[in-house]
Amino acid sequence: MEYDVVIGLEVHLEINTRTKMFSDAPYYFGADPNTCVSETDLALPGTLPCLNREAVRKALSLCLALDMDIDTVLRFDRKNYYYTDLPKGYQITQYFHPLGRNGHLKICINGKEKTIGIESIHLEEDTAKQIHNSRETLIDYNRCGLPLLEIVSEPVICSSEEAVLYLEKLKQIFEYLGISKARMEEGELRCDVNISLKEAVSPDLGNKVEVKNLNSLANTRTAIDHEIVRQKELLDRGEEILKETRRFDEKTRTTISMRKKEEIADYRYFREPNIFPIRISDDMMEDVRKSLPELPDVRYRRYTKEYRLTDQAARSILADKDLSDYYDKAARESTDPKILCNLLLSELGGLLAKADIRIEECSVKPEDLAELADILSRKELSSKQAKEVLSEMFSSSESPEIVINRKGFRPIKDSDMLLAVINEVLSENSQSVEDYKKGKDRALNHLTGQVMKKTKGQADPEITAVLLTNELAKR
Amino acid sequence: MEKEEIKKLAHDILLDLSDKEAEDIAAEFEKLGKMLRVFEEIDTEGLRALVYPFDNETEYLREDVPERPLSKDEVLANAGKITENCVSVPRVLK
Amino acid sequence: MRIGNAASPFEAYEKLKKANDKLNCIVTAIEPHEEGIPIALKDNVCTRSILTTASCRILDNYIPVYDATIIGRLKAKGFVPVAKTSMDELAMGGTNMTALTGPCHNPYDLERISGGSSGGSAVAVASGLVPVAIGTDTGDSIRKPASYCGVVGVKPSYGKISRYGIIPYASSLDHVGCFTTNVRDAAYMLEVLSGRDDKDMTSSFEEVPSYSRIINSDISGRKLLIFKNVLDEIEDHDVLRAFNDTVTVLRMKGAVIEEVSFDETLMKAVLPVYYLIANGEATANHANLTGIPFGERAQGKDFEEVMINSRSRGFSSSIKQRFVIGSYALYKENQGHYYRKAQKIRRLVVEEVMNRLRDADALIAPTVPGIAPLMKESSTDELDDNLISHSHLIIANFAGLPSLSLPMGFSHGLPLGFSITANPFMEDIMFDIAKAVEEYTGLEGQTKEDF
Repeated sequence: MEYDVVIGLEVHLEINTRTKMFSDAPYYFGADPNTCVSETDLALPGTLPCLNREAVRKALSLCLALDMDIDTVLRFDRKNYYYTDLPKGYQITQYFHPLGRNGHLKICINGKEKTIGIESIHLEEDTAKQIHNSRETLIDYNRCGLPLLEIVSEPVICSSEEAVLYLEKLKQIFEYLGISKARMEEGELRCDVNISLKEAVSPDLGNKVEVKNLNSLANTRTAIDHEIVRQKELLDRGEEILKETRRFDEKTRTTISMRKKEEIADYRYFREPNIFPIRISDDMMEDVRKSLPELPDVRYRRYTKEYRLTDQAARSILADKDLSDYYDKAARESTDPKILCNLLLSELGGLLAKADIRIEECSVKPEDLAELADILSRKELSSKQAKEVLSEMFSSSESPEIVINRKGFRPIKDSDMLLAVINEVLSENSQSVEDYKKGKDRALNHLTGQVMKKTKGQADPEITAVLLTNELAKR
Repeated sequence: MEKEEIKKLAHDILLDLSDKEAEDIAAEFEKLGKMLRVFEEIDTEGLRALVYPFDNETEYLREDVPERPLSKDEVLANAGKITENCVSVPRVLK
Repeated sequence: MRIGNAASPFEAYEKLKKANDKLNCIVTAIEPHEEGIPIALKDNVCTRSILTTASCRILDNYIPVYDATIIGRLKAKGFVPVAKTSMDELAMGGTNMTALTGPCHNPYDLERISGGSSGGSAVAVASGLVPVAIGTDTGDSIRKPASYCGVVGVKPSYGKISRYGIIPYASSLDHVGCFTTNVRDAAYMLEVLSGRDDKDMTSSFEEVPSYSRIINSDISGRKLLIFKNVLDEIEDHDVLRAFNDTVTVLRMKGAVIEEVSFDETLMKAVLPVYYLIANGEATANHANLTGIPFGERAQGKDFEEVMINSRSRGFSSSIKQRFVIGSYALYKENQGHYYRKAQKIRRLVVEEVMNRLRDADALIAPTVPGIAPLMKESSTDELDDNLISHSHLIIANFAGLPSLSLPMGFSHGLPLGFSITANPFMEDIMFDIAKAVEEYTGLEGQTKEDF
């Protein structure tokens, strides 16, 4: 039987504010246990929540970036359940009135654009971290109360590939907005997948299975693929898919049932009475709008249209925001953004990879790379020379000018000097001269090569070409 | 309401009830039920819930400036069991 | 006793300890180490390094690591806490009979209740042990014991006094307030306690006037509404006489008196509405009491069992009852008939009263329909009597209105209270009217000091 796969993703994102969502305690990843905790985080009796402005600003910037309808009155609700990682016994969230609704982002799948709808984005808070040993569970409250955004996609994703592309695109937007590095390995981004299969010919939706807490893109992909196969097999055997919550087991690389849907608690949501509705002022909204950075899609258009980069080159640069920022800085100083792009991606990229450092740690200043690109563009250096110059720049942090001078890579433009060399070469290579006269173009290359050899590559290629042709004509 | 039903409700908020407690709650539910008949006489169609004493909105938001958190000792001061600077509970079985 | 002529904190501390044998009004005596004005705090006010139990077994060993906001404000004005006072468990009660430390006694008759939930604070002031005590009021928990114990008990508008560091009952109804022996002290205390607190997002930005300086018993032209539904219910002749005599005097002083009858069905709904909202919020507010990061922890083989055992042992049966019913009202399928319905009726009640109060200065009534009942005749179940003459006090919590009770006379040697409820943030007018009443009754500064 043929089935349509219907996937919706719920992403939980920790945003990088200095303090927590509802308390003024700081947070540092990797801090000693229980050293980033305020009385509010610990839910000590009598404490009250107090909402972080920066968290709201960052959430707003994401809503704007995803083109969402924004509810300008913030309202919060209590989600009631008991667990050791939740000291209040409820999580403060936005169940009834999410901050943003009806957003969308575009992914590119097999060369085609697809729009993924975003149902809602809301603010909430993280729980404590639990460390399990054989006999006990240890609770570290540091993470408790960290600002989280929950981003819920519409169920319009059809494959694990689309899901991963969607997540990658989201991560890229988070990074460009500067709201989170979204490192899955550090738990800054967690993903729950809702997945169901429906018969291609039937309008009825299948029962939904939720796979919780996926902590890497690879696991997300594997979990979805596994779940599709599992559900397909069940359906083909005529069995029913149970509404349930499952988790991904890294060892077996399969999903395992956690609880059936009927057992899932009623969270008894109700409005958080300790937080009045908060009106987002026009000033604040305007301020967030104004400080919104250029987003990847816009940059992509600029790169491909204005700078005429290839699709692949543009994507390669955009994949890393720091690289893209570097490129933008350099491109502003350069007259040849294409050559600049090549230098950055292949030459500098190679050096960075070899030295295992990131672009922001690179000693080559963007303006220096731009200058080198321009020199290359003016054909004052051969590519081989440029590569050598860049390598020196990379280790010495010097400008291209200084390196070129030291290396003596100044091109010889002096006609008399060049004529002397050319005539010497022509005399020594009479056979090639004759070949040229007979119309063999290859001979010209050979002669040019000889001139280059004699000048150690310093002969200006354009001037040499002109002079050589003229001299040959005389013979 | 049945005793078992009440015990189930109590379990949802992590309370164990004795039979006597469950019976008393059943009786209280009855009392409340009678009192709530007055609700049926009150038309609330189309009304918004009044969550707070006033229908006001605020604009205040806290600036994102860290204050000194509790010391580790303060965090753990009232905990029943402590291991490796964490609050310890018997193993949470998955 | 007045704030201005109070005994030293140490004397107060000594007297409290001695008197407590008879009154049982305190949980913890705090030995003072500095001079100043002695003050008693209800045991739900968090005090750094000082046991704070909220009269609940699960918090029997709980020592806060931070101070409530009001502690800082009090200390800045020279107040020295000398005791944490008895209260109903988690402030959920009106008799003070459910206190973990046992019932608190009315100083006018030890066989009678103090009223609650802030009973210990009312008693400490009424018996002249301290000039002022802090209480909290979710439905009537300051004003009712104030009436029974013959002191001034006031709760200001919602948001006026920070709730940060006050162990809650129901967040949308909780108010902090105080007990004093006279109206001017109450006005002064409001100056000390009130003001914006950034740690409480419901804290008000309204300016705090110098109430004690601007207080003025001139009430000519003030429009006072007599809460007719309340009076219609009262049978006690002493109460009626004391109230009517007071009203007559107020009229003579130039007040315009009007009777107002509110919709009886709505008034009858006040108690169940309160019951559902307060218990609904409370069940969540106290979901933090699990014995894990703090509180008395019971044994168990896994975390859930630890929580269940700690909670089941840590709360009295009547609290469990409230939590179960409060939680029931919040289930998705129940909210429409219970919690949310109650919130909607809350709106109707508030509108019903505000439609009249908005064009007047205050709503007045006897605080409660009689003297403090005998302990043996008191029920701790709020649902036992749905009397408007009791539940009318809750309306000030529904609407966040400033409200106070002050002594208006005696019946059989026990105090009677007069209730004044004003428009939001019009505490000054409430105090002016109270001052006029006080001038007439001559009960300013009265205490019952034999302990």
